[in-house]
Amino acid sequence: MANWSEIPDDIIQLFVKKLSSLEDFISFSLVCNSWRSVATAESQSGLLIFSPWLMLTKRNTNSDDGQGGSIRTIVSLSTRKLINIRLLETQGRRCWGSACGWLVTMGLDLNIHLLNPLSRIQISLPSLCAFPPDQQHAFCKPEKLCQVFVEKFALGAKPPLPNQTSVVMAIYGGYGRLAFATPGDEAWTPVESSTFRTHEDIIFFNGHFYVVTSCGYLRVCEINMTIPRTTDIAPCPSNVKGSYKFYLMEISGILHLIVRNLHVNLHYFSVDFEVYKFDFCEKFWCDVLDLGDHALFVGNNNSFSISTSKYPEFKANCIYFTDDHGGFFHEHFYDMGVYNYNTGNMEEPFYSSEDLLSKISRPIFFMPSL
Amino acid sequence: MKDSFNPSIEPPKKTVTLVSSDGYDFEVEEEVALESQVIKDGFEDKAVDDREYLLFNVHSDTLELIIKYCEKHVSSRKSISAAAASSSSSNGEEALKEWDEHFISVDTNTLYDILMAADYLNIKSLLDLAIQKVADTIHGRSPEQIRKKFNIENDSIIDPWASE
Repeated sequence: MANWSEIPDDIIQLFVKKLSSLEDFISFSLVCNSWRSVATAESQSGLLIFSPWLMLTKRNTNSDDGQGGSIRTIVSLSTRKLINIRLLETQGRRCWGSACGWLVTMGLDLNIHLLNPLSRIQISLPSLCAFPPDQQHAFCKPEKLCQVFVEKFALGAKPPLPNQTSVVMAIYGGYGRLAFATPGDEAWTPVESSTFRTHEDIIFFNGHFYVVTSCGYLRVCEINMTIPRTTDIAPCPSNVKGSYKFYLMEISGILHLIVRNLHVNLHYFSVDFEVYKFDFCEKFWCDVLDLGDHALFVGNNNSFSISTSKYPEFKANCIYFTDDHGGFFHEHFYDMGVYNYNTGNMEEPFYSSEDLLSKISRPIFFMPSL
Repeated sequence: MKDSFNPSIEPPKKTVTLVSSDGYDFEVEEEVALESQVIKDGFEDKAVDDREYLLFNVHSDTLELIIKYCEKHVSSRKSISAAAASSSSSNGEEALKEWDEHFISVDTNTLYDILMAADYLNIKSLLDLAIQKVADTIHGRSPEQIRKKFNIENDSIIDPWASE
């Protein structure tokens, strides 16, 4: 009698190599444990290419699909296909994306988790209540806390597995302070800053967490000291003016600063972008005039870049962005699109629908990975 | 590399005996048996009167199919190279591909037997064909549909992709 689940691993490996799409790969890896373990090993060997996804949110969490809003729609940006997945773990929760297959989620229960939406492995982090006290949000309701308490999460090093510790750094509270935790910790450990400034983005780069303040100051976090603290490295590029948001990104092993210039009227919307790369010797941001074959992804995610020679479905020299402006959760508006860094124009949007925003979550980019 | 095949000076066919796991003897031409890399590897060292292979892992039903596949491939290769030698046009490769497709259109139990036998006997082209068939069967199916198709039990993986 045929026993497909007990086929030798080397033959299962041959199956995996013949699969023609990511969707097939995911289905395959969810058939049984033996197929799954081989598929996971293959995906980690880097032989399989995953391309970025956009995870949407449902505006109405009490939808009438009988699932109480547990269905998440994902746009495969490479195939333009919509994929519906039943993902109870994200129901009514705000999500942040990452480039390593993991999401950070937070719900009205104020618990915080790492979640791999493909494998559905979930790892707990200390809850929102375990952050250092923050007076600005002392009397907020859970819904408001979900919307504004945490600006960003960044994952350190490798995707966290149950037997691995991985540091997660957060920008939290009314003053955009920093704190970090590893799964299993009781509380978030604060990172002291010498001068007060709101932090805007974090990146794990070359073994350290780097942050950029709302004034564009670059700092490095020293978390292995008795009192973890930040050290200033360099000020903002001198020609940045007006209203903007900053993102830190690694492109081809070099630290970059992305400046998103905003027009502020009734709403914020993106006008254009500037890109700088950091010279660690001179401690200086240099202009970048061309992104080469790269496509950049910024928004409610750890900013990441891909090479379009590896992912030809994406536009080179372009910045894909989602709406991450705080405080407009109730509005029927979103600032999302593709900016062509070469021409300085906006490209055709990659996804457009009336039904994008929920009360607490935002569309997010992430790289699926098992 | 061209086969110097010429029917008029062909020596008498040499044969070998393949014995299935359930004890049936199959007498096949040497070149057909040599499609199996495993048989080919030890072939020269074996005495001519001892060319009998006990295939403990291959049932007679499957062995019959495997022999049919190898015979077809040996004969097609000959006619393709003969056509090439006489530079007459031939759609031999196309026809063989079609034949392969038809050959591998079997239920998943038979596919499993062919796959395991192709692996055991190390017949690369047949193994490739069977693996491709598995990938084609998986294509576009949900995990639950795949389990049903291949008769696999769900050993407790939660399935976030289940259709509603």
